[in-house]
Amino acid sequence: MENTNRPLISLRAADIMSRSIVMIPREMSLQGAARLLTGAGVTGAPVIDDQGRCIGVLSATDFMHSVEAHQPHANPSRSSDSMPHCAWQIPEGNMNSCLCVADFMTIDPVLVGPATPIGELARMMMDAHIHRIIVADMATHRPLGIVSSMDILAAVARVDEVPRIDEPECHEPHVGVFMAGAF
Amino acid sequence: MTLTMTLRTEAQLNLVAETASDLMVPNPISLRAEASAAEAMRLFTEEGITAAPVIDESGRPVGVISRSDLLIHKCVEQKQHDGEYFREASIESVDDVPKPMIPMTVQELMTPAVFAVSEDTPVSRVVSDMVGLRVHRLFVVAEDGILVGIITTMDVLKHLLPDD
Repeated sequence: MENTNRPLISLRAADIMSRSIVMIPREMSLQGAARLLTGAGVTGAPVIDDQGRCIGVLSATDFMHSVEAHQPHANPSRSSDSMPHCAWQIPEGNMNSCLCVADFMTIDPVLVGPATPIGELARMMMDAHIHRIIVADMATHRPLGIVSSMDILAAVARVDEVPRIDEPECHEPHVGVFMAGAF
Repeated sequence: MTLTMTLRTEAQLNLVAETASDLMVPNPISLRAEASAAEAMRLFTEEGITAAPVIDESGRPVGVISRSDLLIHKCVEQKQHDGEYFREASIESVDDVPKPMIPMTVQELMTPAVFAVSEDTPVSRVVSDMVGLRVHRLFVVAEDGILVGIITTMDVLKHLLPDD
């Protein structure tokens, strides 16, 4: 994301999108996609065809749907330490490795051009109930970046704060990380 | 004196809220820590939700449980069940009878991390905390620590929309 002090209303998708994106070939296996996403530390990515065009999105939710659709088959040779610990680990060893990304991705992804205003991005996320939108060259449908709801919040957080009252009381907000069992 | 702050944006795009209480969804559907995994799955299905805060007996949040947590548990349980089945097939004495599986509770499956703000936390702090902590939801707690609401990134976006 570019560091900019421009007014919020003037920001476009290209200003706030993440340009470092992982792209998943449609023919890739779910296991391969899981390894790719885990390695990149992301929870979703565009799926592309052999022309590089975005044809879908694969997210953690899609992986969970694949698990629900295919009940796990136990393999007695696998030890207990091979049990899954996160969503990305579920497909490994529990599913048929022939399952392809194209079978479980979300098709008809929401694509926008790089000049889409930030307000429009927020509205589209709300309307479609999605947390990320693919920014693409709308002529070729090739992905250029991704805007997440967190990217929009980060842009909002950079905007200056203007107190309405001259001398506001300073309440230290009750913010913290508590680990259960620590009490 | 009441703390009232707003984020300065252009006229067409305002974050129309002052404090966490303006952003939050009040009285979220919650699960008791001692509820079983089956009860949690049933609640998720009936309510059409994918995650829920976990509260203790006094109503204080102690963690979050998601559909992913439950599905992972289901995978593990299935493996254990099939493992017992194969072991049962080779029983040579009555002493080798497999022990029945004990149903796991929500507390054992949840992520025991709570990110919370108070009801009067300014919206600017709510947003900066979400971004800084990289979390998509914050709990809102009353002075006594009781869970009173939840704020998601979508709730913030909802209040960011143009005010026509």
